[in-house]
Amino acid sequence: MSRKMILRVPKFQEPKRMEKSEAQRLWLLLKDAIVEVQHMNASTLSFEELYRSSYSLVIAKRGDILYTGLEEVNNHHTKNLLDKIAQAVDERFLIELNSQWQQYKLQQIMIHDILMYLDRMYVKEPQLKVFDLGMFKWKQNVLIHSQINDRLVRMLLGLIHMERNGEVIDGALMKSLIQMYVDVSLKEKETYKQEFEERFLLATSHFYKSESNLFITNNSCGAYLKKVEIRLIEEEARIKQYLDESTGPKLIKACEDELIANHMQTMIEMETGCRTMIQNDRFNELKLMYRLFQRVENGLVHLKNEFAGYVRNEGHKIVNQPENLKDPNALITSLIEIRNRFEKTLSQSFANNRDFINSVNTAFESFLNENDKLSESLALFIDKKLRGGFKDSNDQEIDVIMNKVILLFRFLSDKDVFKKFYEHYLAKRLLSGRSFSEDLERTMISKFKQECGNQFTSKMEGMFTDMRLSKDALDGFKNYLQTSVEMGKLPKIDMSVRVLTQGFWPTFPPHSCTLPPLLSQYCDLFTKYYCHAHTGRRIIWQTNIGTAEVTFRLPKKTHVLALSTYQMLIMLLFNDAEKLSLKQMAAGTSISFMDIQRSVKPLYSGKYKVLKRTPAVEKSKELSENDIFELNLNLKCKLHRIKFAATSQTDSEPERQHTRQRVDEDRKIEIDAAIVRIMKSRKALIHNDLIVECTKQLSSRFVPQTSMIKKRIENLIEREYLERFPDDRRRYRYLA
Amino acid sequence: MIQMAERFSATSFQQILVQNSSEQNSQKPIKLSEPIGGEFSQAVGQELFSDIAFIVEGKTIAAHKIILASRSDYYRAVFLSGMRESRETELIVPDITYATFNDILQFLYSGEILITDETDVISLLVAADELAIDPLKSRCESVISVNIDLGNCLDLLQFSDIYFAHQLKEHVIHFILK
Repeated sequence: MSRKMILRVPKFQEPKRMEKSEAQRLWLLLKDAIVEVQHMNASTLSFEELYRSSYSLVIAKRGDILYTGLEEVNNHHTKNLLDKIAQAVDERFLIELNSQWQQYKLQQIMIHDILMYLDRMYVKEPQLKVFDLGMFKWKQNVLIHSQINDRLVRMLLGLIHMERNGEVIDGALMKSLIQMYVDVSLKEKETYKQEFEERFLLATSHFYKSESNLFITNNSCGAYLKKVEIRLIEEEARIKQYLDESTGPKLIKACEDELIANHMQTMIEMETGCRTMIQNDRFNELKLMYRLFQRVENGLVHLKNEFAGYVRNEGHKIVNQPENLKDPNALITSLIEIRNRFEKTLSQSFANNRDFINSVNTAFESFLNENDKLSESLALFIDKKLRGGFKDSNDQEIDVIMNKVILLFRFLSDKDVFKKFYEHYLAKRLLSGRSFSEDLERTMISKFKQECGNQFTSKMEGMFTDMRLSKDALDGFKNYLQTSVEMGKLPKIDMSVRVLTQGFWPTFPPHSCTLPPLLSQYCDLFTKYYCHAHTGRRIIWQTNIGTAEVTFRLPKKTHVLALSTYQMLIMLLFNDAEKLSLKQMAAGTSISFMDIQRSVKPLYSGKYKVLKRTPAVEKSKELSENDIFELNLNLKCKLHRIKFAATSQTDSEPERQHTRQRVDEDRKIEIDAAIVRIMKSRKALIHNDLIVECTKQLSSRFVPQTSMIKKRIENLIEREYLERFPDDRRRYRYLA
Repeated sequence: MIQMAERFSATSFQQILVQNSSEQNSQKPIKLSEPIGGEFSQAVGQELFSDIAFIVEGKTIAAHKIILASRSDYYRAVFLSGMRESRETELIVPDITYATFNDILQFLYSGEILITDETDVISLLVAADELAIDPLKSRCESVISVNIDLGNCLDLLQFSDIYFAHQLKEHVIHFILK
């Protein structure tokens, strides 16, 4: 590394002093050459000679002569050019300017090459580099000269205006001239920005302001949107074709402001605007609108609000339509329909934008909870589907419908009400054996489970368990009967029992009745068997929801009647009597009069009349205690088995009331629990905070009314769970 | 041996042609790239595909414009200036010895230079400076810097000043002050 080598360093005892005259000679040589270059006569010059001349001057520390000389020569030359260019008239002006400029640039490159050594070794900041000096002189003496600049910009803008109006202009010429502003800018493209860009943007705004105002008043919104899109594409192309790329964002912003931002309100409100498009599912136009609005600040907010407003309005109409209020099926079907429709709009036009989806969901939430019908309607809708409505659908279609149901369910604020109704109808389906498919039932329940967790569906699952266990118990009972001693004495009856766990099932209003001896013997046998197998359990018979089959022997024919337990009891009474009044029926069976009425009605007024009213009174529908019935021995029916509906499918108003009452009861308990939970952890709390916290905790199940929470607080104070602070009545304390 | 003071960014040949044909105002100096390997150093003096000949001290060296123009601003200007030299097939190189010019070509072709005791580093520096081959100039300065002694330091001071050898000048001043 530190190897010594012999250096032959030239001795400059007398430094090579260049004579002034020699320096002058070299400069003149160079000056002549530069002038030749400026007259495009460079081909006979010797590059190496010129280079070496400039090198010698710089080495001899005479770069100053060269640099100041160059400045003068450039100055002189550009001033000459100015006159030449300024004389050109009309279109010749641009062409002359451009050709001079192109030549000038080439010359400057040559001059730079010749003076490369000067540029590298002599030029120091703040002096301009040789090439930049040339550019600066052009700018100073030609471009921004009053005879050129204004005229040039006006002509350029004029050409752009023509092009925007559909005429063809010389793009290459435009590019070269506009690029000139960039080339002569020393830093940050300042000349381009000051002299050209600013005025160009202003002219652009002006052009599009008047065009857009005119166009939108004379055309439809759809046509306007298309026009805007085309304009924006054209401007993008313009940037590429002849503008400096730094202008791009500014130009596009100016266009968007004039074409979109300034007309957003109009585009939404005009007759052919956004509203009409949404109403008529004009997905493509909306998509275009979305794409364009997206480009400007707050554009999508406008569009979103408009859309959400429309959704809310449509939903409001549906949930308040009188026909829909009467027909739960129609209500839910139309809700699913509009949901599908809006989902289509969201995906086809609004790119499934999260904000849009959210605001549509909020709209659904608000109109679905406008009245309290929806919980029950939804439960009824599913009930109908699960009773056989799904019969003609394939798995995929069923899944789609179920998911829609879940979707609507999600928007319900009173999920507990829905749950009660759902359980109620599920119980009915199971007990009457009307459920179409257990698999589908379970699928539906698992979807609720996913949505709301175990607690929500535990009772429903309990019902299914009961159904299974009942079957086992019944099998066991039948075996027991065969081995039983008492069995021999009794006539055979096919008896089927379902054991329902209290708590899983909706509570059925307790009714009592007197069973005929034979049946009550069977019941006792079952009770004995069951309680023996499961010690500690108590059985309560719910005869009012049972069914029975009775053989009806007519003189010529025998029918089997499928009846409710009550109807069976009534019919059995006719074994011992010809005619019976309702009063007598009630007395003979200990069934309440209301249930008698309900049970008898299908028997004499349905399609097949097994009872007839005597004397026959057609018109009066109201039954009174003293109305008398007898068996209709002339019954004409081809069927062997005749089925009678026990009650109508939809619940009567009292039953519905009952369900609501039970919901209210449950809510009281839930609210109590929530209050106690909160107070236990917080010890002391101000009234309002407690209300807020309580509402928050319960919101996933239902929205409690403040008045109800207040009542529960009062109640808890009475029951000494809480007390008020003596000095501050608004504060509560938890009493452990 | 001695580390190059700077690393040079690669400039491909294609880019240079583009610059010359369309972006004529681009005045960025071409920098020698990383060494391009032994293959091209074999091409110095090769007459195969040669399109230019240099006459140095009466001797002829065959060379290739495309390599020189792509590796040196000076030769790019010479060949593309449109002046007399761009039409010549022979160029006379005055004031430089055959050995020194050969070193210059070696460096331009390969990006590497082997400096030995026989090398006239001082002349090589002067030539590199004139022909604007900065990396070579810098190499020369480094070599000279480790050979400063009491006998040559004053001469070197003057020398470095004349030929704008700033790096060397600093070393010499440092040496003298010490």
